[in-house]
Amino acid sequence: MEKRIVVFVILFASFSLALSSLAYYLQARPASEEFIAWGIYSSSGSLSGYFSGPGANVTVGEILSWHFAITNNMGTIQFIRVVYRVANASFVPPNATIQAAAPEVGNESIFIPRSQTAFLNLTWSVSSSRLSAGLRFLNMTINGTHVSPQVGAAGGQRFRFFFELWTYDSESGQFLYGYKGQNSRIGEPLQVWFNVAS
Amino acid sequence: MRFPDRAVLGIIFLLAISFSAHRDIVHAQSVQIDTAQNQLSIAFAAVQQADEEGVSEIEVSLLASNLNRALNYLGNASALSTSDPSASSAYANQSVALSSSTLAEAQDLTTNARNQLFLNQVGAYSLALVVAFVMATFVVEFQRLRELVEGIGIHRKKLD
Repeated sequence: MEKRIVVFVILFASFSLALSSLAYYLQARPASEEFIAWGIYSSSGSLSGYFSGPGANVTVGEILSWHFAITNNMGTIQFIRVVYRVANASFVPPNATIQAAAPEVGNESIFIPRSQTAFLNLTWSVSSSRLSAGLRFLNMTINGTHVSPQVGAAGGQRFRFFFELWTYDSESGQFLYGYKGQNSRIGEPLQVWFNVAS
Repeated sequence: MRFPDRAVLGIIFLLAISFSAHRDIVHAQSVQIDTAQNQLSIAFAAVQQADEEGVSEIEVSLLASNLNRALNYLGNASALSTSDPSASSAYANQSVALSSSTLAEAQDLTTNARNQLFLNQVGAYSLALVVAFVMATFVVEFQRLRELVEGIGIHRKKLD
């Protein structure tokens, strides 16, 4: 009788452990790699053909309508900010860990629920340009706001946009560059080169 | 003091009052926008918490939609802060109100999600224990059950 009780207790404990583990597994959220994917799309909705003419030439007064598509696969809702910077060829571009030092010319923020893709419009134009010390400087309109970045390029050639993705960190109460990876933050910058005809 | 001197002093006095009033309005504006930003941050933290606690994707999407509206109001408030202070103030208030209601809703949903999770866990682990008990009993008592079934069979045969 005692032996039977001992066997019962051992079996009950083993089955309980196995079935509780199964219950825990079934209730747990499936683990998945956390990331934010994004891209900048031209007016035709593709990842190319950003400019109407040949090459990457922009004429003064030409309006370009691009948009960002941002997919949140971080497992929870994210507060995302896209920062726009204008630079010339000599600026160090942003990378996986550090943002660029080029002047910020605008930003847009949006809340994106998990597993969803959101879109942000970027409508911009070069309203005028001026020559100073042999360099061409731009007056631009970005999403309706006039900006004059203190960045010049010889002959108006090889300007570029840096686009950086920042996420809001509730713990520190501020936007931080990139998004939270497993061990460190991950930056995913984008850039588009352009030339401005004089 | 001659009349023109008094007039000049009067104008300076009025300008000073006007400047001071404008500065107060701008300061109040800035405070309202800061309040709206803080409230939006708090609401976002609450929605993120709700999301982590297992609130459904549809409900989180609705909360996110409210947050985006509050963010738009805040953007309008910032854009109009110098050109149209009263409109800016109205937008800032709308942003605060929407953030506050979103915060309250997120907290309610979080509480419900926690309760539901607790009930689900209690149910799942209870079921696991009951099934474990039945399985252990079945294994231990298998021989007796077999004898019982065989006994019933023999008894039926005898009756036949």
